[in-house]
Amino acid sequence: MAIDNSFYYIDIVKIPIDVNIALNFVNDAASGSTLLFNGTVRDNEDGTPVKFLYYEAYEEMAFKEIDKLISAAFEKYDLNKIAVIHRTGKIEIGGISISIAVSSPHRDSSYTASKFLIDNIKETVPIWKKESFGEYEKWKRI
Amino acid sequence: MQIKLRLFAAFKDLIGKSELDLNFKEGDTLEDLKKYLTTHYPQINHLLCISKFAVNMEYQDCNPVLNNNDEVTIIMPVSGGLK
Repeated sequence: MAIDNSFYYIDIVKIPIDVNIALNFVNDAASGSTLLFNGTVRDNEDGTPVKFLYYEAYEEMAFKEIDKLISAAFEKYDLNKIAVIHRTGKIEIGGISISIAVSSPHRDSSYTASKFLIDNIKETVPIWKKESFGEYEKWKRI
Repeated sequence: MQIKLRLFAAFKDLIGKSELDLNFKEGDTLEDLKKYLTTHYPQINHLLCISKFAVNMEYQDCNPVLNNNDEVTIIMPVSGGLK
């Protein structure tokens, strides 16, 4: 089902994510809940110190896949608006790699939809993560 | 026919290019493209078996016949992470 694009926002950016863009987009008078999730760069992987992360996207397909997931979220949950912003390139420790903002009439839908979106984005959207450990670098999951 | 193969992440690193322009016969399928890659780029074989393919930005579960000017991409497992 095609969702009117005035109800959702997708961006893939090479600069630090401005979470206020996501929050302002989902701000909605009919919502009693606005939830922001930020994925941030952790300083270690299973205890091994990480220097930074590097994200690479197949952008055209990533937009399409995020679009599909947002449509699925609107079908599954009672939501008003969704914003997803993913960053690519080098991101330092503590930096935000993804922001997902969701607004809904009641809080349960915001929480479940936010988790649905991040879990599925990390399974199907063609954006890859390379961890730099200083001495070596490794693409995640290979 | 001409097929554009887009390469990202580890595939771009291992092959050293971000895309390849490949020639195939009419009627050739995605499996034919995979066989070509296995033969010509053995350095990616260990990743091909855990990767998916997209044709014109749609994941493929089957073995579609390729068409002239199709854009094919090898999608290695994406960023993942524990929940």
